[in-house]
Amino acid sequence: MALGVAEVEVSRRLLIVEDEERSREALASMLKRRGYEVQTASNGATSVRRAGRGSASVVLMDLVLGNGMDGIEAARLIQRHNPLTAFIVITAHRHEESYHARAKQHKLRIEAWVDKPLDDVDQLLPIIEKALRKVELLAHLERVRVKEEPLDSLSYLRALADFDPSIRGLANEVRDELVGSEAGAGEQEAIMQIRSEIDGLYDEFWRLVGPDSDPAHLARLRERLRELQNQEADIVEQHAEARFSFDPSQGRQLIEETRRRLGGK
Amino acid sequence: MTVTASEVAVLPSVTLPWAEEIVRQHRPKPAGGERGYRLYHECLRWEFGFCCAFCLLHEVDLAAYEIVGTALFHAEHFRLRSKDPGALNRYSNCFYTCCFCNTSRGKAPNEDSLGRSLLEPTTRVWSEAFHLVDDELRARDPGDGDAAYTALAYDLGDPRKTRRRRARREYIEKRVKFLSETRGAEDELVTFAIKMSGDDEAIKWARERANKFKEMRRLATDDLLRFRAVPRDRPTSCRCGHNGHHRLPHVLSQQTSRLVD
Repeated sequence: MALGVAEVEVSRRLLIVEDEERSREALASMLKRRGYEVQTASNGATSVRRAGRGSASVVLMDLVLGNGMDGIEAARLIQRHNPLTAFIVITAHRHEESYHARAKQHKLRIEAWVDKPLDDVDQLLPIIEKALRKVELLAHLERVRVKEEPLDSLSYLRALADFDPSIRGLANEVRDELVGSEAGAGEQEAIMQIRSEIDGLYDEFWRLVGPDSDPAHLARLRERLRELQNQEADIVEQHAEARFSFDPSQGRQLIEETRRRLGGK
Repeated sequence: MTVTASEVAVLPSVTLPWAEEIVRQHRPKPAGGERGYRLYHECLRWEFGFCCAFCLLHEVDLAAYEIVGTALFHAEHFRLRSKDPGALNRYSNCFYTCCFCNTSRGKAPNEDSLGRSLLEPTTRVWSEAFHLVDDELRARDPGDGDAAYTALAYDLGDPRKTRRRRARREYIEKRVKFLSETRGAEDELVTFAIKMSGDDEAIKWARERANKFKEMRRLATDDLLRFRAVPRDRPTSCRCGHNGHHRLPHVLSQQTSRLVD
């Protein structure tokens, strides 16, 4: 039993966003034949509208689209409204750094970058299936978070992986996406060790505190406690910044450069 | 505060200690069993505005600690289960607390050997007992034994809390400052471009700059939206059986500001 993951209902609907009609229809037709429900959109704005109606779990996205909105911008808007959506980018511009940089900046959930033209549609199938499975798992986590707290998503993922080893790799990938950081197992272990020592110090403190306690000893306990708490905060804060997109120093630089050019305004 | 569909209530840069006692709105059906109180979790999240009832950190403040992979918020039993078994599943005895407050108190008694009593925010105005000094929540009056004992028991001076509080303040202040300083920047650049009519290089520069400002303002706004007072995973139902009272407590909502999503 896989803790009901397989029973979670997530649509197997795909959205193909491609401005070139022949490619779009050919891909749609092949994927329909393989059993998927397929929607299509010829430009970014239409894709955002279609996805906004909340249906497709996975979007196959071209990057260069007409009508002023490219695939990264469309994906950003789709993900903003449907945070669980996964993307598979199909593009002739796979190696252009700027697309990757923007995708990273917006934390887009891109499952894979696939070269266009597609040699064989079957190469897409395992990628689509993996993306659908991830969306299912994330949807399940959302329900768990709402219904069964205080088990939070990460501890749930850990329990899930322990219970069903066949999805351990997937669970770890989803955990990394949720955390949005590069935190490694070593750091987590270090924190757990710190926490364990902190717990012990609190226990000792409450056991000793009272009218007959030695104030110097209690002060030493508190000092060690503060040291450990700061150590934990140091580790965690290395990753905290990664959650934010705006860089204040770049903002300051932009303001100052512009002011200089506009004459000190 | 009423928030329209496209507006989001965003946390203040610093959550000030509650200026009133928190009045419980939720009346969940009593739960039984060894872990029945867990069924109050949704009620507690709304009741205390997704904040720790004691140190006032919000769920979003502790998101960085998700890397540890353990639950970040718990139901705290104010009257210890060991001292009062009936208190285990009594809703009025349950408080929403962060993992740090919950762990630090442990089994510390409600009254210590000096006769000092623990405080809780439904019977005591938090701002009368505590204030913020350099982002640390401290007893306001050193002579207030109850506040001092509460600060000790819940370890309100834990640097993990102070540093998260400081981080939120700095993140929000920097972004709000940028948004406020650059309000009208795009208009100013358009005016500049009009004035420079004929100078293609200057017009191109102004257009690029305007786009850059637009993009950075959007990033700053997106970051601020991370500090939404009502998280995206808010419970839509609770054990009360209706959701008419699914709103932030007044003491928090009056400190929030609105942002268009």
